[in-house]
Parts: sequence; structure tokens; C-alpha cells
Amino acid sequence: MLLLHIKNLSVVIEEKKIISQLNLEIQSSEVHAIMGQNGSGKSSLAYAVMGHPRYAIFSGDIHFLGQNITNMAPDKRARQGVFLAFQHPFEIPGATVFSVLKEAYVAVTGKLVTISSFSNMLYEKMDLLQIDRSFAGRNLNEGFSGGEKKRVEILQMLILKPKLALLDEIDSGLDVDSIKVVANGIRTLKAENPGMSLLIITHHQHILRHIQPDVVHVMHDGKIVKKGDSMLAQKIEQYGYSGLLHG
Amino acid sequence: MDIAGFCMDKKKCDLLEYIYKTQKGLSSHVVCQISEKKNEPGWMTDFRLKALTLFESLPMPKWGCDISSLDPSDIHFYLKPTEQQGNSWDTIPPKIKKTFEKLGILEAEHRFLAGLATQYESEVIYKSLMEKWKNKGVIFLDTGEGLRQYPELFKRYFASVIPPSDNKFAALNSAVWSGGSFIIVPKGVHIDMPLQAYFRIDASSFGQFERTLIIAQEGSSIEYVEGCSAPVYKKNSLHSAVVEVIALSGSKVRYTTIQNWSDNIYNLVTKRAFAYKDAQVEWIDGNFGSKVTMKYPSIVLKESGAKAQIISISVAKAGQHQDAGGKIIHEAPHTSSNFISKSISQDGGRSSFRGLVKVADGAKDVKASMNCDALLLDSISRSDTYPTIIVKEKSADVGHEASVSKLDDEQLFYIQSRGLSHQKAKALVVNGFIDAFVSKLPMEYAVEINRLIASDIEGF
Amino acid sequence: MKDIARVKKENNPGKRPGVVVSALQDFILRYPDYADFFKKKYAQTTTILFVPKGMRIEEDVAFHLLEQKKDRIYSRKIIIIAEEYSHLKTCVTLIVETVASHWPIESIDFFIRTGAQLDFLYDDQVPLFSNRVGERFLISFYLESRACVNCYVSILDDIAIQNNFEFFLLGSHAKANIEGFYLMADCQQLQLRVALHHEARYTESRLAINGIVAGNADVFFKGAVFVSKEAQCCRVAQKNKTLLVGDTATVSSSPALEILNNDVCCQHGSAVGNLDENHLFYLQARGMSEAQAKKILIEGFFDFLLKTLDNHGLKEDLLRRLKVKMRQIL
Repeated sequence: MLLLHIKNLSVVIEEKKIISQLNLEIQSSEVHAIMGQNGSGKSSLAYAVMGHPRYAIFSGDIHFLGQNITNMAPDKRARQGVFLAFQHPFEIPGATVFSVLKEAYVAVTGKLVTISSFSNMLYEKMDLLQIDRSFAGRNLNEGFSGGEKKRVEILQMLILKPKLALLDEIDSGLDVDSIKVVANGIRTLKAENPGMSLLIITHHQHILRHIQPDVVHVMHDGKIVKKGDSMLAQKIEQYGYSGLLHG
Repeated sequence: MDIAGFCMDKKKCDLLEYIYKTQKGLSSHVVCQISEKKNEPGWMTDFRLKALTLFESLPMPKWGCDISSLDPSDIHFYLKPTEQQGNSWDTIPPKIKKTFEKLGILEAEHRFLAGLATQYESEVIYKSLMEKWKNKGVIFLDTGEGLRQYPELFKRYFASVIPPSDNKFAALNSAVWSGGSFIIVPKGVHIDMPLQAYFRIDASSFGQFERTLIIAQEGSSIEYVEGCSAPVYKKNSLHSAVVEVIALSGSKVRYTTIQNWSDNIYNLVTKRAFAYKDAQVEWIDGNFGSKVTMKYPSIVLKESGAKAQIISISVAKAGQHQDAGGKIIHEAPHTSSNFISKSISQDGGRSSFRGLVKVADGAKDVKASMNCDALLLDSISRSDTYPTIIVKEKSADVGHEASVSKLDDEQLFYIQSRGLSHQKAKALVVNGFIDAFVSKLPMEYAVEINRLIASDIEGF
Repeated sequence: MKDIARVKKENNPGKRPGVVVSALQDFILRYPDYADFFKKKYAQTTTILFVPKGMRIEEDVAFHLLEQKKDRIYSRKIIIIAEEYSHLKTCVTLIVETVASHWPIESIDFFIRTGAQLDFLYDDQVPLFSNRVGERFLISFYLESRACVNCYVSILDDIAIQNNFEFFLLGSHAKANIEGFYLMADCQQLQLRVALHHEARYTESRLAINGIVAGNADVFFKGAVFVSKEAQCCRVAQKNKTLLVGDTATVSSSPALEILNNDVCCQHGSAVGNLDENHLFYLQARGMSEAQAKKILIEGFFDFLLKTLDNHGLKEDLLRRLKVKMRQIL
């Protein structure tokens, strides 16, 4: 089933075109990776798919599960089943991890849930991701280290169980052990929900060693310039981007 | 251009015989004399007289520095050392040439400067424009000459940014202005070297009222540098300049001032720029000298896409009060501004920062920030910070931060542990403190400023 | 003039302690040591509320009125003295109820003596100041060494009154901590001035006032900090953050510093803006609607206050009024 269909998408921010005539199709269950150098437009693509207000769609559209979401508000997209794990998650003072996640869960799944059953669910996931339970009572991302922030992003994904998860540089700033824990969390979710698709944005191989992609795209200057399978990722590791693009 | 530690006392300075001198003190008679001598058109004479009336009626400012000992009736207003302006080195009177040589002007001229307009005692007597710029249509004249040669253009823009009613000292300047630079950069022309003005106050009890008008036409760019020095005299001297800058759409103007007047000068200056669509204006303002300085360069962002930047530094030493800062007014949407001020107070000096950022109703999507840091080098000096932000538009994002502190002991210890003396370590840290300003200066100025700071701190 | 008796906590466990003296002249009769204490000139009829040495009044207290006849109170000024090492927790509403003046109160002066501590809540919903637009009042705090003031300011209902607060840190190690918020909506005008004078060494002050301005409200905030030559090693932090959500509202913020001493650590900041769109996006990307996301972020704005106001009896009431007002303006 075609989950995400991006057609001839051009995106502009602050009068600069950062994505140009991009086409991308993701079927359900698939794992795609988008690689590219800094400034190639990878994170911008994720932001545009999630619906960040500053990223203006210049032309083209985005379809999710057959529905045109190009002009849809970000919360509606979340409720459709799109999830974005941010590269730099924002601190939300005055709102605890518990309270935000519970509200999000109710909003996205539409299911009402008691505090105690939600607590059980939350703690179970926290234990899986080796996040100390005390974090539930802390303000979301406030004072969290880089690694802690990334794990909490994955925690949110585990709670919301999206159909499509966009992971923006989930491995940046993480040590080897943390990457293992995060990858384990992602794999567990995928095992429970085989239909879930992933779009992993990264500029190096680390996470891809733990979660093998079915399709690898390389972005450069706002366009997808190369497409291949997981071998492509290994080639990039060997020859670098310049080697690949000009070699 | 040697501006570091340059100090002349009365004995060393050449005393000049002046060709023309008005009476001391101010009256409509004096104003008319000035206008007549310059052969000005009637409208300018009227303008001056109206401004004089305003000056007499406007009150002295009650805020800011203490200028109570200033007596406008005790000042010469107009001195003209030679009858005509020279266009090459040879036409300049020998005595004046000698002074210039002492001050290193000739050297500077050969050091990749685009042009040099030198004001000496209220009159521009020497300027040279490199052929390149002249051929591109760049106009760089003494303001009086500008009025003579381009009367319509002059009338259109003159006093459009700073009317005489703006404040008492703008009114004074409007009445008795003389000299200054008149610059027009034509459409699309980019001047890749800084244009420079140089002037100094020489005689005692002398007021200097130059008036500068810079018009950067669409898509052009210009960098203008003024650095000045003055000898030391006993009587108080007044420097009350007015600078108007008009940056038309797409143009870029950077106006750099390094002021190191001697410590008897009252430096009360009004400077303002209008920035039109997508234009960029920068005031780079360094205040090192004078007894009292009150100067708040301003930028009004009149049309969408305009950008403003003010980088201001003040160093106040014994007996000095630097009251500086600026104003940025967002009148149009999608404009942004950045305001950085650094001040240093030592040996009992007082340095005050007065800043205003205003966002008018309808100026949507504005981003503005104002940062002001002050360093107090000892316990007898003083630092004040008076920022104001006024926002009438909810989509604006305006922030201000300030800090006041002394030199960090840990930092000094670390540098000393690498072998530098305490004094050298201090100089290093202070120069680092003002780096935001120094990095915007043309190279030879940057070097001079660093030397100036170091000599102040190391006590040489 | 009747004699004034002091109530001892030990003798009256059921009653709340504290002493009210009807007028300055009576107070000095009873406590002649205080004859020279008041450097400022006060009318002899100024009302004094007095907390004796070492007494701890840890809940919001209604000063116990003794031998007090309401018709004797006709002063517009109130003085409150917290003697050495006492601890007073009170709020402006209770003070005014206690004094029960016929006239609107003009000023309240707190004298916090050595080692004493004051927790004070200023809530502008008081019958203190009538509906007279433009009226000014002044609350001053004079702190001796090691004295400490925690002052909480809540402004919800103000209509064009000048609110002035002045803190004088006169003794070493004195501390002033001011936290507050304002929520202004249509037709409201707020003028808030807070001045802090550091006159002694090792003094500390912290000011954090945030607010939301909606509709066509007008807010003018002026913070002034003076650090004298003698006030070495002091720490100053000032912050004012305003969320501007009204289409025709105006916010003006001027936090000023005058520092005459180099051995200080002073910082201040002020910001005016709207909710950070990145934060909004982040919460919406988690499925929350725009309105829900806004609500969470705005409540976070007042998070600090809700946490620090922990033991104040009026906290619940304040929270309720805050929620009502927030619903109104959002």
C-alpha cells in the first residue's frame, strides 16, 4: 500500500528554494534512508512533510494514504499517523513528559485512557529505552542531555505508534550504547507494527548498521540525485559524497 | 592615520592666522554672515535663520551628560583658513601641510584609500578623488560644494532625515553648519574601498558643526570612515555634527566613526539613517575620547526587507562621560535589526548606554535584538544601562540582554599561567571583549584601536 | 489613648499572633527605642503593624487587632515592622482588611530588620485602591543585614494605576527576590515600576516578571537597579518577558542599571514576542491542536510562579482567577 507519495515538490524558506522538484514514494512496511551532506535539504524535507509553517510549498504535493496533506496542519498530520523525531527537540517548560505524552496519546489515538493504565504503558516503554522513570515527572526536554532528548523522542514514537516515522538524525550526538538502545526501541516497534514505515535521515552510516534500509536516497542541493539499496550507503561510507557524486 | 595616543598641547600646535573669523557667540547676524560668505541660495539662509530661532527656543536636555558648563555664546563659529579648496596636495598652505604631515595624512592617502576629504577648521580644503570613482559618477564633495553643484538633489534630501526641530543641537548645527561630506553613490555602483573623512578641532573655544549627507542610490554600496583627533586646550570646545544617511532600495551603507577627541571637547552628535526596501545600514561607532559624548546613531527601517545593525563601543576614562547607544525603529514588516554595545569604564570614567528598539503597529514579522555588555575595570568607575523596547505588533520577536561585570579572574589566571604579565593578560581580555567592533574596522584602524586599548590598560 | 497589650503566641495558641498598633505615636510610647528609627517623616497617625523579635508567622495571617477601634484608623500610610529574626508571611489583602481604612491606602513601608524574612503577596484585587484611574501607590521595603524578602506580584485587574515597588538593601547579605506576572486584556493599562537599591556588600536581588498582553491593553514596565560604590560583591538578575497576543496591544519595557562598583555580577534581559512557532509546531506534531498547544505553552509561562507560591493560602484563589482570565483572553 502506498503510504507516502511526494510529487514534484519544491519548498521555499526565507525566499530560498531548499527543495527542488523532489519525488519520493514510500510503501507501507518499507524502510527508506535519506542521506546527504549538511545543507542538502534532508531535514527540510522532514519538516515539510510534517508541516512546519515556515516551509512554504512552492509547487507539487504530498499525499499520505491517498489523502492530500499538502496544506494540512501539523497536528492533523500527526493524527493521520505521521511522526517526526526532531534533530533538536525543543524544551517545553511547565509541561511534564507524562502530561504531554498523555495528551498526545489521546489526541492521536482517539482512545481515552486512565492515568494508571497510561502510566503502566509509559513506564514499560521507558524501561525498554533505559530512560529513568523519574523523567516522566520532569519538564519535557528541559535540562536533558542530547542523548536523553533523542531517547525521549523515540519514547514518544513508541507511545504514539505512527504509520510513518521520520527520524531526523536520530543518531547524531549519541554514543555507541545509546544508538543500540534507540535502534532496539525502533525495531521493537516495527516488530509489533509490521506495516509501519520508516524514513531515516542521516549523513553517516551508524544507525543504518542497526536498521537496514530497503531503499537509500542521496540528496544534494534540494534534489534526490541517486537512489539505490543498502549497498549505496556502504558506497558512501567508502567513497564519501563527493566521490559518489562526481566519481 | 595615527589616532592612538596622539595628543598635542598648545605649545606644540601650529597657531594659524585665519583668513576669516566671525565674532564669538551666536546671533542672526553671525548666521547671515556665514551664509553670505558661502554664497548660499536664499532658501538656505532662511533655513539657517529658522533653525537659529528653534535653537534659542528649545531647552537644554535634562537627561544624559552634564553639559551645564557649555556656553554657546563663547564659541567661534566659522573659520576659513584658505579662500579656495585645493584639489591636489600642492595648493594647500604650507603650515597646514605640516600639520597634516604630523598627523600622517599623506601616508594614509597612499594607503589604499578611495578618497580623502579633509575638514580643517570648518572647511574642506583638500580632497582628492581617485579617478576610478569619479568616472563611475560617485560624488564626494564638501557639503557646501554639494549645495553649489547639485542644488536640486541637495534640496531634496537635505534635512529630510534630521529636521532642525529634532533637538537643540540639531537646530544649532542647522543654523551654523559648515563643511562635512556630501556623497552620492549612483545606482548599482559598489565602492570597494572605504571613503574617509578627517577633521580636527584646532583653536580654542571653537565649535565644529559639520553636516554630512550620504545618499546611496538603488543597489549601490559604500563604506565611509571618519576618525578624528584633536589637541588639548583649556577652554571647552563643542562638536555638534549632524549626519544624514539615505539608503535607497537594495543599497548598503556602513558608516564607521572612531572618535578620539581630546578631553575638553563636548561631543553632541545627531546621526540618523533611513533604510528603504531591502537596504542595509550599519553604524559602527567607537567612542574613545572627548569630555562628554552624547551620541545615539539611529536607523529607521522604512520599507520591507530592510536591515539595521549598530555596533557601538565606548571607553570612558578619568573625567569622561560617554553617553552613547542608538535607536532602531521598525516601521515596516519583514525587517530585522541587531544592536551590540560594549562599554569599558576605568579610572573613574562613566559610560552609559541608551538604546531604543521600537516596533510600530503593522510592522509584521520583525526580529530585533539588542545586546549590551559593560566592563568595569575598577571600583571607582561607573556604568549605566538604559534600554527600552516598545512593541506594538504581536508578530514581533524582540529581545534584549545586558550584563555588567569586571574582568574574570579565572580567565586572567589562565592567561597568566601561560606566561603573560597581569597587565598584558588584561589587555588581551579587553581586546577580546570589543572584538565585535574591531572586526568591522578597516585593517589599519583595527590595529590602532588595539594599540589604544592596550596603552590605556597597560598605562603607557 | 488606651494602652496596647502584646499578645504572646504561647498564651494564645488558638489565636494568630502579631501586634497592631493604631498609630505611630502610640507605638513609640510603647517602644521608645523606635523613636529615632524612622528616618522618613511619617504622620503621627500612620498605622503600624508589628511582628516582634523572633516571632514566626508562617501562614498568611490576619493581624490580630487588639483594642482596636475601626474609626481610629485614618491614615493613608501603613508601616510594617518585622523585628530581628522574625518571619512574616502575609499579603496585601489581609493587611488592608486589618487596617480597614476609610481612605484608599497610598503607601506601605516594610522594615525588615536583621535576619528577618518576609513573604509577601501583592494581588491587585484589593479594595486598596479605588477605581480612580491614574492613582499611584508605593510599596517600599527596607532591608537590614541578612534580611530577606520574597515578593510575589500578581496583576490581573489593573486599570491605569501606577504600581511602584522599591527595595532598599541597606545591610550586607540582604536579599530581595521578586517574581510576578501580569495578564492584561482589553482596555487595561498597566504601569509597573520596580526599583532596587543595593547599598551594601554581598546583597542579592532577583527579579522575574512575565506577562501576557491581549486585546488593546497597554503595558509599561520599568525596572531600575542602582548599585552603589559600597555594594561590592553583589549579584543582580532582572528578567521581563512578555507574550504579546493582542492585535492592538502595546508593550514597553525598560530595565535600567546604574552600577558604581566593579565587583558585581549584574545581568538583565527583556523580551517581547509571540509564542515560539517552533514550540507550537513540536506539540502539534505530537497530535495536539493549535489551541491545545498554545494552552500548554502559556501555562508553562507561569510555571515558576505556581511552584513557588506553594504555601500561600491565596494560591488557589489566584490560580482560579488566572485560569478564568486566560480563558477570556485566549
